[in-house]
Amino acid sequence: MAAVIGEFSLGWFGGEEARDEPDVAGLVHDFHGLLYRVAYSVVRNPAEAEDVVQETFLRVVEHRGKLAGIREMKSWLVRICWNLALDRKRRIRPEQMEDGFAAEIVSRELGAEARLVVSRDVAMVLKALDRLPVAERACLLLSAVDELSTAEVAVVLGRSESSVRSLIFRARTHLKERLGMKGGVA
Amino acid sequence: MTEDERVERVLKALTQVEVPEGMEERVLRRLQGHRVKVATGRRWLVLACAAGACAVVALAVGMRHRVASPAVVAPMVGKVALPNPIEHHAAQASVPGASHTRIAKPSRAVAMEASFPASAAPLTEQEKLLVRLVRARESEQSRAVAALREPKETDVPLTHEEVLLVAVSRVRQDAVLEALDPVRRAETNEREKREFNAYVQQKDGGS
Repeated sequence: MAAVIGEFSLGWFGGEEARDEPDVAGLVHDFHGLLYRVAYSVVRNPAEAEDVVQETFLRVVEHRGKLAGIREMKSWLVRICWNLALDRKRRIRPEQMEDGFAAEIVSRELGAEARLVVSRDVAMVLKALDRLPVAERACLLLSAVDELSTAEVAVVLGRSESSVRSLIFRARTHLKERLGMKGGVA
Repeated sequence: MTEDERVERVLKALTQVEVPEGMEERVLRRLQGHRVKVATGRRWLVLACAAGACAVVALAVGMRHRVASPAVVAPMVGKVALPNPIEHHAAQASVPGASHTRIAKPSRAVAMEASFPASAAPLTEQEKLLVRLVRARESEQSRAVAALREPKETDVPLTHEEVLLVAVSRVRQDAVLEALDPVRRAETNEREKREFNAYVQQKDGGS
């Protein structure tokens, strides 16, 4: 892929771009999956999540001068992606987004009768998730991504690890309470 | 299903989705398009900057010419470019057979030009004022002389001041000639005596 990127004309300032381009291609190769999952956890829509990933790498290209000085590339990328996804989510109608996501989950599950039940349950959990405080929700979602450790989540959110752990615990507790009050669904 | 399981199911569904096929290529293609666009934009920016710099240089050169041109033209206003007599003489002497030709004596203006060549530097404010003053004085004097000579033709009696002015102007005009020509000086003396006597008689009779 780096070769593909290197094919086009880089113009009069090509020297710098040619030097940075393989790095960006490498970053895309290494992190596009992780960023897609991070974006998807927020926007809950495949097309929107892919758009967010593309925007993230565009930002990287625009700030490629800083690439050399970044120590934790993964956290930096996830933070950009997370912020862009939050911005994007504000522009999407949440009802549509949740319905689509719920339908997607249900379609992978069991057949006819169970679909309606599971769909309602997923929608309920999502609603409870959205009502969580921002920090708790962020910690819960990011910690659920397999590729991110608690330390990395802490870096992304600019918090300490203990704070992140505490927030995750509180988020789960709050979710359970809210779902328990509304009644469980099999 | 417990609350924990329900939450886990949703979180898993949210964060462990499969990446769509061909997404990496699409991302790279978009980056490529963006880079081409940026490169084109930069090229236009450089061209615009170059054009702007050229315009600024042209403007600066134009302004310098506009400022400098009066300084070059001003000393030549109202003058004819006069030949340098020394150069003129040398040129004639160098021509074979031209040595016997009479070299015209340069006029006073030419002599002045040769002695005091106009400087290429622009006139200062003081010099301009001086030139203006001299011209004004010249025109005033010529007007005064013309005005004083007019009454002679019309035989209008002159006032005391006018007679004095006439005398002064005549003295100034004819001083050199009279000094050189004794006959003329005698005539002038006679005429002035007559005029003076006539003036005194007229004044005594009037009063």
